Amino acid sequence: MTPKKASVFQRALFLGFLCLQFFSMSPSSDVVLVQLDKLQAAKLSPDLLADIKGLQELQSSWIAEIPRSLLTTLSGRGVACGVLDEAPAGKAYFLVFTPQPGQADILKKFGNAIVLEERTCLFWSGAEEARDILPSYFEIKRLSLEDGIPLSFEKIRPKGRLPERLEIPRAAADPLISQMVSQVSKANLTNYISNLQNFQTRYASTANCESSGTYLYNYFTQLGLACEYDPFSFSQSGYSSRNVVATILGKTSPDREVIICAHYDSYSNQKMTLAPGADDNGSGTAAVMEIARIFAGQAFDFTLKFICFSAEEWGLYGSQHYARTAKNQGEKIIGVINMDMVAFTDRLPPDLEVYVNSRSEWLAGRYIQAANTYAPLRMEEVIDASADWSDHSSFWDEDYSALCSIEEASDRNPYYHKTTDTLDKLNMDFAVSVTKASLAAAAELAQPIGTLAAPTGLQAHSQISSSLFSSIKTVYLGWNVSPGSINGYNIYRSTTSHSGYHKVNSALVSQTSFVDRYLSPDVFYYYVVTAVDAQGRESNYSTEVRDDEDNKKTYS
Amino acid sequence: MMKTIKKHIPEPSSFFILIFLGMSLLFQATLCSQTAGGTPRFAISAAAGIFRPGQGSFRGLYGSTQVPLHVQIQFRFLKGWAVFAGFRYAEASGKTLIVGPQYVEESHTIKFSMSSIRLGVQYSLAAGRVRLFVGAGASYNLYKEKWEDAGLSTEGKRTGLLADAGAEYLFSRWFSIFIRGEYSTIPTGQGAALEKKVDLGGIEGVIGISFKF
Repeated sequence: MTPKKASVFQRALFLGFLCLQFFSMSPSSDVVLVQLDKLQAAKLSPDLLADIKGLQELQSSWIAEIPRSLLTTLSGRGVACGVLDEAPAGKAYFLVFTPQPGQADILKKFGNAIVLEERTCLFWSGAEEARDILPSYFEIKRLSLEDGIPLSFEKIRPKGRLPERLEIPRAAADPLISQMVSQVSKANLTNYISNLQNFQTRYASTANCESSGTYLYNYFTQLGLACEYDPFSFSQSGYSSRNVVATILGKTSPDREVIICAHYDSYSNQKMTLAPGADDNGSGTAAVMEIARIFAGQAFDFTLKFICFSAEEWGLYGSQHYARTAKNQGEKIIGVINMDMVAFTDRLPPDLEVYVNSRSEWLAGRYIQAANTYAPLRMEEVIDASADWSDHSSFWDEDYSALCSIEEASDRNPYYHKTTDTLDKLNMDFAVSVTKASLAAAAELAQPIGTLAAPTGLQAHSQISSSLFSSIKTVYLGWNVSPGSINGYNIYRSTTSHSGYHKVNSALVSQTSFVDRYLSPDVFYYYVVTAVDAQGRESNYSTEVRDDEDNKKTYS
Repeated sequence: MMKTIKKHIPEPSSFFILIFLGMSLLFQATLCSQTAGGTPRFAISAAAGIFRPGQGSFRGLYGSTQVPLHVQIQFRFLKGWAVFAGFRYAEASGKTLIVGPQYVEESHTIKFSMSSIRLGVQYSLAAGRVRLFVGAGASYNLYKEKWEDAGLSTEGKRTGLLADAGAEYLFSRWFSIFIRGEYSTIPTGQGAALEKKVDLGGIEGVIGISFKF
C-alpha cells in the first residue's frame, strides 16, 4: 500500500469510527413520549389512534408513546402534541403530584421534570426510583411503558366538584344492610390502627412491612375468609412484596366482583425505621379489616374481595400488578372502593371527598346514595381523571370503575408522610363514618341475600331493524325460573352500567322472557331482573347484562 | 324509549331559484308562441313506468321495482328545443331489514312515498313520424317514510338531478306515444343503520301518451 493510499484508508477508518460514535451517542429513537390534547386527539381516525400507545390518562390529556414519524402527521392534523422525552427506552418515569401548583422547580433538582397539569408533573432520573430520591411530601405513581392503554375519549368533561354538596334523596334502606352498618366499631378501628402502627414502619421493602402483611393475612384467615398473598416485585433493586387478598365468594354470580381496598404500606422521612402511617394508610386498612369482619359469614349475590395493597408509596406497584393481572384474566369487577387516609380532619364537621374519573361517575353516585341512606356524612364528588395518586388509579388504567374516598383535609394534614402520623392525631368518629359509608356502598353493590333469591341466568340479545331513514333496537331478554313461590318478575333498564335503573314493565311479567322494543340503536342498554313473591317482596337485582351481551356467544 | 320521530329537513332555497328561472323561460316561450304558427308548441303527457332504485338498501326494503306516475307539460320554444315541467308520484310498501346479528326473524311494515316536481330542457331530432329526444333537469322531491306499527315517521324535502332520453311516435299532428329512459339522483344526506346516506334516485323506464296543442 502506498503512503497516499494508506492515508486515505486511515481517514476512511476514522470517519467510520466517528459515524459509529455519533449513532451510538444519538438520543433519538423510533418512539417518543408525548402529551396529547384529549379533545383534539378524539378527532383522529381509528387508523392513527391504533399507532398511539396510551400510557396514562389525565383530565385533559393523554401521555402516550408514538412512533417518531407520527409527530409530523399529528401536527398536520392540528393535534397539539408536546414531546416529553425523545428517548424513553430504559427510563423509569413517574407521575408526581405536588402539594402546590408550580413546584416543578423543586423536582428539577432531582432529575427531569415537566409540568403536565396544574399539580401533576412527569419526573424521571434515568432508571432511578422516584421514591429513592424525591422528598417525602411528593405523591408518586410509576408510569409503565410496557402495557399500553387503549386511548379513550368517552365522556370528556371538565374537572369539577359536582355538585358542591350532593343532595340525593334517601332510598329505602335494606334492613340487612342497616344491621351490618350498625356493627361498625370505633374500638375495633382504633385497635387495628394501633396494631398497624406498632410495626414501627410498613415501608415496602422492609421486613416490617412484610410482617404487617402477614398480620393482615392471619386476621382475614381468622375471620374464616379465603385469603391469599399476591406477590410481586418492584423497583430496579428487585424488591418484592405482597398484596393480601381475602375473598367472600358470591352465591348467585361469583364471577362478578366488588373490591374494597386500601394500601397497608407506609412512608415517612425516616422510612426504614419509623413510618407509623396511622392516617396514611392505617385508617383505610383498618376500614377494610372492619368491613371484612362484619361481612364474614354473610351471603352475597356477588363476590367480595378485601385487598390490602403494598408498595403504593413507591408508585402504586402493588395495585398495578393486581389490576393488570385481573384484566388479563378477564375478571369482571363491578366496582372498586379504595380508601386512602380517612381519619384525619382539621375542621368539624369533617368532609369526605370521593374521587372518580368520568367512567366511574356512576360508582360515586351509588356510594354517596348508600352513605346518605345508611350513614350520612358530608361528602363531595370530585371528577378528576388526573387524580392518579392512589390505588384506584391502577383500576382506572385497566378500564374498571373505581373510586377513592379520602379526607378533604389530606392536602393539609400536617403529619402526612412524617413520623408523627400517629393514632393520637386521628378523629376516630370520622373513621367510623367513612367505614360505615364504604360498608353500605359495598353491600349495596354486592347485594346481601335476603329471603328471596335474585333471578339467575339473565341473557340479552339485541338486533337492529332498519328502514331507509329510521332504525330501532329490539332487546330480547331471558332468564331462569326463580325457585319458590314467585308471582312474577320486574325488568329494569339503564343507559349507565350498574346505576340509574328504571322499571320497564307496567305489570309483573309472569314469563321468564321479555322483549324491549323501539330503543335507540345508538345507545347501549343495561338490564337487571328481580323476582317478586306473593307477599310483594322483591328480590335483589340479578346480574347486570348489556343488551348485546350474548350476541357474540350466539353468532361467533 | 323511541316512539315517534319526525325529521324535517330545511327546504333548499336553491330550488326556488330554479323554479323562478323555469317560470321566466316558460313566460318567454309563451310570448314566442303567440307570434309563431304551424306545428303545435305545447304538449301535455301522462305516463307510467318502472323505477329501479339505485341503492341496494332501497331495493332490499321496498323491492327491486316501483311504479311511478308522471304528468308533464312541455313547450317548444325553438326548433328542436323544449322546456318541460312535470309531476311524479311513487309509493311502495316493504318490510324493515335486520342490520347485524339476527336473533329473531322479525320485521316491521313500512311505507314510502315521494312526490316530485320536475323542470328541465329537452332537445329532439325528428325523422318523419319518429322523434328522438334527450333532456336534463332538476327535481324537487318531498318524501315520507312511515313505520306502520311503530309510529316512526320521517319526512324530508330534497332537490335532485335527472337526465333522460327517449323516442316518440306521432300518430297524428296532435297525438303521440313515447318511451323514455331516465336516470336520477336525489341525495338526501340522511340515513339510518342500513344506509348512512340515502340516495332516492335510480333508473326508470316510462311509457306514455302525449297530446299536442
